[in-house]
Amino acid sequence: MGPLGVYIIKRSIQIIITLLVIMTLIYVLLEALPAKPYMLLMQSPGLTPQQKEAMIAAMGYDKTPWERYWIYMRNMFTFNFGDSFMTGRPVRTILFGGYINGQYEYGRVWNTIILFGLATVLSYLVGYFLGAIIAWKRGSLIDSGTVVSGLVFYNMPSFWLGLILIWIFAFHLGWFPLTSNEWMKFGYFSIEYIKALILPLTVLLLISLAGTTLLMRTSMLDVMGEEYIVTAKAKGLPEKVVLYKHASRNALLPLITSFVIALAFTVAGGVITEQVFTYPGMGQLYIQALGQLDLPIVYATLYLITLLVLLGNFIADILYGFLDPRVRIQ
Amino acid sequence: MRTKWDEMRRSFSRAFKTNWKLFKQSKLGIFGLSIIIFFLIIAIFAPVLTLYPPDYIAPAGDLYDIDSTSVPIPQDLAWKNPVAIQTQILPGKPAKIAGIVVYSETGAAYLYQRKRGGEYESILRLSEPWKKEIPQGVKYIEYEPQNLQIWAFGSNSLYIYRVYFNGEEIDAQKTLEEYREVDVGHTVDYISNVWDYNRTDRSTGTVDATMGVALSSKNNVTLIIWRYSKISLTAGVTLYEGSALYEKNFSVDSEIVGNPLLIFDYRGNNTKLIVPTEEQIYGYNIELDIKKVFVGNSTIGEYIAGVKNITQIWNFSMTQNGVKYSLKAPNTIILPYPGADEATGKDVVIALCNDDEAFGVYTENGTMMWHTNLRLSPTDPRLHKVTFRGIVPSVRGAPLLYGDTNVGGFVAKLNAHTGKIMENKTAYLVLPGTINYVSRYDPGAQGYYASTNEGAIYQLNESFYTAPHQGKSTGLVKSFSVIGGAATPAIFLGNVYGVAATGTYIGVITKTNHLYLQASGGTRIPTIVIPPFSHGKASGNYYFLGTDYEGHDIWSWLAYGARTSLLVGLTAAFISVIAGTFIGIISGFYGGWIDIVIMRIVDIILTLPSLVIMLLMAAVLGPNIWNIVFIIAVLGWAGIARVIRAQTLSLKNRPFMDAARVAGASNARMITKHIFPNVLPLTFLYMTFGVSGAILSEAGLSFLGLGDPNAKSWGMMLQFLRMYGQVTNPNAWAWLIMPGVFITLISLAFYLVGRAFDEVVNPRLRKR
Repeated sequence: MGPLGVYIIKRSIQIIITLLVIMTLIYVLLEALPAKPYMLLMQSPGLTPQQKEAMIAAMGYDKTPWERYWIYMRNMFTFNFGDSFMTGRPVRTILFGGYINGQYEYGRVWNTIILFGLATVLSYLVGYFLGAIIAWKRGSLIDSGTVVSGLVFYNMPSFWLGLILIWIFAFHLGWFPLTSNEWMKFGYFSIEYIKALILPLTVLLLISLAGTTLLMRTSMLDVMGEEYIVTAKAKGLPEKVVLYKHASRNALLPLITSFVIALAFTVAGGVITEQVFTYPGMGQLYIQALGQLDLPIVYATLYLITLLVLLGNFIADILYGFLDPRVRIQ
Repeated sequence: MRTKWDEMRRSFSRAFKTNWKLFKQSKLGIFGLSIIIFFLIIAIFAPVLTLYPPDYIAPAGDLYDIDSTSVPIPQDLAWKNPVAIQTQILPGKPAKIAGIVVYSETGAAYLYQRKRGGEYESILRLSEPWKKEIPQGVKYIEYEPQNLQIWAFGSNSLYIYRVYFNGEEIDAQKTLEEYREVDVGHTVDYISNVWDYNRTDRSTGTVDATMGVALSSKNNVTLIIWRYSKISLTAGVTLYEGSALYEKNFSVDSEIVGNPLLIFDYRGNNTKLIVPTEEQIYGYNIELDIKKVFVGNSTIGEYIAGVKNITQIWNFSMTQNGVKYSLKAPNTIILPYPGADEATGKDVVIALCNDDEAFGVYTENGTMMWHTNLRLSPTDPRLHKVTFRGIVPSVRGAPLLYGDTNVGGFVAKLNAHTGKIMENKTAYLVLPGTINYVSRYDPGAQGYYASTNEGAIYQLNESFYTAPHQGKSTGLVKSFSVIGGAATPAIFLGNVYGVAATGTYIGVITKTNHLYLQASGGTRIPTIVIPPFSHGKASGNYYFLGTDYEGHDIWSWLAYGARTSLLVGLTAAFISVIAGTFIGIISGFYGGWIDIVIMRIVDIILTLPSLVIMLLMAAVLGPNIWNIVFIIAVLGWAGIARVIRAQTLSLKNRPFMDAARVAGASNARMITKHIFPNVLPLTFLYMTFGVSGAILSEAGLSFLGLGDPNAKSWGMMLQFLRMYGQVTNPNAWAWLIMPGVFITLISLAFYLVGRAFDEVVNPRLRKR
């Protein structure tokens, strides 16, 4: 088995251990909550003691924490997420989509992935071109203008930018819907969905473009200092060719690794962005469930996020190994 | 002799001077630094720079749009509670006109009718009133929505008035026609709560309602019970024409000292009358005689013909653990348990109270059992002495208990199942000011309204119980204060319908002789957002950037918010950077399994999406500013540790370290003298970026509602903006824009300083 195989195995073990540790930590944290999920439901004064006991048992609190821990770990690894405490709906359907009471519910995970995946892809795409251009025109007005505005957007709270965009475009101009639920009647491939996506996408783009553009720019500047660029220019190649064929392609590498890692974090989504635009994604579900102490959803969401982030990092590592021969040699 | 400290000081000042010279060359760095200084000044001098403290709430006259819903009323009369009349809704037609009846002690009743006009009127406008003379000395007034009646209880009479409509207008000729006068036969000192039950017969759609009241004085108790069925008005007959009122006087042996209470169900069976006397509390089962009413040949319905049997079933002998309790009866409060079996008396719950005690009692099969003697928390100094004064039923079965404490009004939720005050500490509230009235339960607002002598009106929402860590209690909202103070308690008026508009209104008569009506807009009475650069219309206060929806001055919050941001940002960044540096150094220096373990932990922390974990920790730890600092620091040290460790590793392998080791330097000395000063620039660098990130994180957490409710934070301002739905309010532009601008500026400032410093530390970065 080659060095790559060994590496994969080592990393896999690492990932599993990390996953176990994180899940245990999450469990401990949530167990430390003094408020228990059944407390909210017990407020209803007409309940008999038997009903209360049944409720507690349904939530699993008649068992000891240790027992619950094993059940929890087992469930998470078998993707058996159970039913929501609040609505009784199966968590897996809420997350991944499916039919509830005859109506199709769109999976929250996919919603988040679409929005943030698109945002990531677009951000890197635009960042690639924009970064290349402004690095080429270094020192010009475009360069400093882009850098400055990128800095400003990077330091802007995303929710505020979202509120302002809502105010201007959704309210005053009416171009986009104010709440983000209408499209569910029409599905993913509809104008309504696109309209619902545009504002959150814009916010995400504006804020992350700063990072990707600057990254590309820095990488380009590094590359442009290399000797083969000087050679290319000396050869008399037109600027466009030097820029696109030689410089920017080689500057791509850090961008790609960054991109893959960013994709891995897509799943975490932007809890804040989803909240501001009431976009029905995982982040918004997470906040809601946390507030209602709907633990099955909380556990499932955190587990998925952790799992996918770890996997994403893993893939990024391997990809990086493939793409950059220098790493493999080490 | 030069000591270690002298050397360190000199090297620091030397480093500082060189670095500052380099730093000054960066224009962006200077810009950033000046912004930081700007915010520091604002934060430190906030009290001087602002006109109002952040907790200041603009007075009601500025916040409430009162002119449109207040009507001046004649000044020469002493006024009592306004009462609303609910219109009848004819099937298929729009709702009819509403009116409001106001009556005075000197013998007049005024009916204000809602003005017509316009397609949609969301504001109730009142016309000039009709006046109707009513007998003097009316003590208490109650309205009956089903049949448009007003019941006025006087000293020894009960007057019932009916409102007539002529088409859609109130019939001026017959309005408030005195329908019936009932001579109670004795003076009335106490009037019970008017309990009513409504039941809809699902098959026929008719509504049964039974109402009753007990009137008592020294030795007399009179029960008045009435009952009717509502039938289709197309028949042109209301059953009320046919129902009867029945009175029965009876005496008891000793003086009646408190409100008698009448509890009955819609069937009219198992009606109970509770009469508190000086010595005891007497409970009576009352059996009602139900007769049928005929009009022509069809059965219209039933009415109560009389009280057939009164049997005394309860005689409260209070002995618990061998101790005989004497109840001071004025504070007796009794509740029915909605699921109880009134036929056998099983599970009928009674709450009995002394000044600071509430007892819960179950009866099972007629016997008495004591539950725990529940005392209010003796550790809460405000509850040292509570006097219970009344109870308000709730359709959801969790009634409200109210009274007085030594510091103000007191309201508490009762668990109707056990009769106990709900044990969670947040299920009671102490209001500033003496409560003079608590309204009935309003399903629209999902709560009650309580008014105080000072003229403030509080909206008490059902959800008294707030789960821990959800920030401030949502159970109490100060709705409004009336200008000039209230002359009467505010009463929830119920649904006042109008053409194409429905609404729930609260009415109060102010000391300035205005009948003031405010729409109760769901769970909150709407206020206006005062726009920037304007004066309050009642107080003349100048609001530089306007106010928010609750009446806080925005500029004040911005200025004090600077304190929060800077405090959280600097502290969190400082802690995380110091911790990260030390951990990084140790990890890099010592290597081995310490290194492996630490780096694993760092990996885990860096893998996790930070905001998600921060939310989780905030939910567990609670919304407190130091928790936020802790959370940000705990997640922030990892990145720095990794970088410092890398730096340490590279330093460790340099020749000068070998030389030091050969010279006999101990580990500690090598760390403090050689490694630490060399990683220090990196530490400073990350500190600035850390502040920037911490400020943004804190803003994000506050925006999501997990910030410290006592700390005024810019993120929280935006959270409230969104929560109150004021994002699109043109008056709120400063509220929307300024917090975000400030957050961006301060975060950007630290970032720029960091970048400039980066260029100082990393000469490669200059001129790029």
